[in-house]
Amino acid sequence: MEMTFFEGQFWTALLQIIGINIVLSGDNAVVIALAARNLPAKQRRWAVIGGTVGAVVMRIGFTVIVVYLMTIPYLKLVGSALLFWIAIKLLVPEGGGGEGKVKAGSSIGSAITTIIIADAVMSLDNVIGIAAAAKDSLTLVILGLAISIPIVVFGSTLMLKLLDRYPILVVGGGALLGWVAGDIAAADPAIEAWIEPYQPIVHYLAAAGGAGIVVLAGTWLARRKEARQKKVDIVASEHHGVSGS
Amino acid sequence: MQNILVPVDGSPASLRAVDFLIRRIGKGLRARVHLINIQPALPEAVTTFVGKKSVRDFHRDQGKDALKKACAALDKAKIPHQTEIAIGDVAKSIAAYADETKCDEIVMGTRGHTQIANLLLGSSTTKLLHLAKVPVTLVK
Repeated sequence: MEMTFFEGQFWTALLQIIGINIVLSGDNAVVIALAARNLPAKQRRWAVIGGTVGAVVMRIGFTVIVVYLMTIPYLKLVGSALLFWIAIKLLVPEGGGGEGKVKAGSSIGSAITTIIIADAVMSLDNVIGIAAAAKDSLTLVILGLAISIPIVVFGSTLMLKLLDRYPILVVGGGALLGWVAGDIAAADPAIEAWIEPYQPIVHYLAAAGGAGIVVLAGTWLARRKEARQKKVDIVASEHHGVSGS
Repeated sequence: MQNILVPVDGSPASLRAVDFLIRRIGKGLRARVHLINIQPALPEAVTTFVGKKSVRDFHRDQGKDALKKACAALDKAKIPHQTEIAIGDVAKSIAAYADETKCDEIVMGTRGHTQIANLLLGSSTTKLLHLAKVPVTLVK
């Protein structure tokens, strides 16, 4: 059933999609800047343009596939489980300065390939989030995509810095993803049939429970991981004397 | 000679902390100045794809950028200083560095949030106050 602009539901879902994009699109933006940084300035621009166009095309393709898959019974449950995982991962801090397994591109072709492959892998979380929050509304899916693309293209490190400065956004983002995960689990055709008599209360309970589980599990794991990091990870160290200009 | 650590993120608040320290040194305080900039770790998904060197170069560039104004202010006042760029959690890294290098004091700027905003946003300053083992001077 298509939601319309006049329903409160539509706007709630749109806000959810914007929130999901903010917390999940930052990494995609950074990879574009990073993959091209070893290239000479002139080639860098073309690598960024080529990589971005490829990434956007892949993202649209993925969205179409995921939205279709989500209509199949039981696959909403799979989507829900994946979202729980994505949400909890969001709350757990990242390790150190990277153990890159893939070599950074030193030619324009390899830089473009890196951008496209990385974006394909990293946009999956985003695409699943959008598809889940959009329910079955095609308008919302398209709007969600339209909002995520400029973040990927122009966002650079802005989103990551925002999340770093205000940790509450990360917790809020995790809770939001947990809410959506619980929400779509309850909307799976396989589940919907036997919770039907208790609607809509079970639906809200599932969503709120999802948000609660993510926040509790995520903060607990984050604390545990943080407790293990004791040392400071220095990347550069310089002495500035007085004689220097 | 005291070791004084100033966390710098390039914000006006962090530069106020640097200025405050310059004034104290001007009044005769003998100090070895350490500036430290902390870069948030990039998501694992990113670091998997772009290689360790690119990631660390990227952090170094971003860190140098954030430190630029503070270094210029110290250079102008002819105060030698050490700069460090680190990756990780802000409060934890600052506290660990202060520990490792036996700093005597941490001087840092705060954005001066209201208490409610602080509670809601959870500041790295509050966390550092909890973790630091040496006196922390906050500059508003």
